[in-house]
Amino acid sequence: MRRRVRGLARKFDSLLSGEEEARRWLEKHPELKRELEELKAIASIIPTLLPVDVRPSPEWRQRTKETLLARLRRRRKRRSVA
Amino acid sequence: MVREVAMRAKECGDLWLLLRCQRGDVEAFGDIYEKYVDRVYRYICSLTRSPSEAEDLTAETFLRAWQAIGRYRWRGKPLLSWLLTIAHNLVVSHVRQNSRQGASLEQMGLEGRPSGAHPEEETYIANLQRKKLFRAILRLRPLERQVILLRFVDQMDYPEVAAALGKTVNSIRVAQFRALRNLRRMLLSEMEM
Repeated sequence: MRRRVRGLARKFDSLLSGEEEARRWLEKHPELKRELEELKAIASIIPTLLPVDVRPSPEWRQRTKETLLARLRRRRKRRSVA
Repeated sequence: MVREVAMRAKECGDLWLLLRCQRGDVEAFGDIYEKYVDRVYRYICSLTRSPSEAEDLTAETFLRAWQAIGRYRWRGKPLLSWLLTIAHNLVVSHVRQNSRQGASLEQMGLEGRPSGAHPEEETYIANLQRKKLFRAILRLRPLERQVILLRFVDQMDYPEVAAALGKTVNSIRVAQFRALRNLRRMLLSEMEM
């Protein structure tokens, strides 16, 4: 069962990258065609669902690091005094 | 002996940082922050779709990580996988809290419907499907969800995802396939309801 899933996952990858051989293989397996094509459709929609290449601003990144580390240092200091 | 262990730990990157943090080294935690903050932010942003919420939840993720780092047991996995789990739990409780306070998924930016006064029917239906798919992604098992987001949102290749999550390329490939199958199953069962 596990081996079958591994094999299918590999074939699906070849389909995703548009390999001709995988497409021919799929034609010979009509029982899987619908499912794998729907999986391919889902995989193609996911990147459009969510923001691409989002990054925090450098200012926020730096400010948050400083605030965080200052807070951690204060905690450590309090603990070592206690 | 201690020096030898320390040298080997240093080679392991994350393990070295972890050991330093567990001895209370705040600067080492700063290095973990530098190394992973962008990925954690992007992960949270892809779940909340709100930059301001992503900022708050990312800061909270690192704070929680520091609080828990003393109890963290190294199993050879990169720290990113642990940080993403903390981040995900925070997002889930944030969503729950907001739902209790009456905020809808739409208000939280969790749906894909564009802000148009009167969207065309086709766009509206497409967006409903997108919303369902997005909700289905949130319901995936943690590993499957991480793989889907890292592969399709972060556009990471298999070796990169495998390294980030401390798994083999094969297991990531299978997790991705299973995740897509589960998404399809969830979407089909919603359509039947």
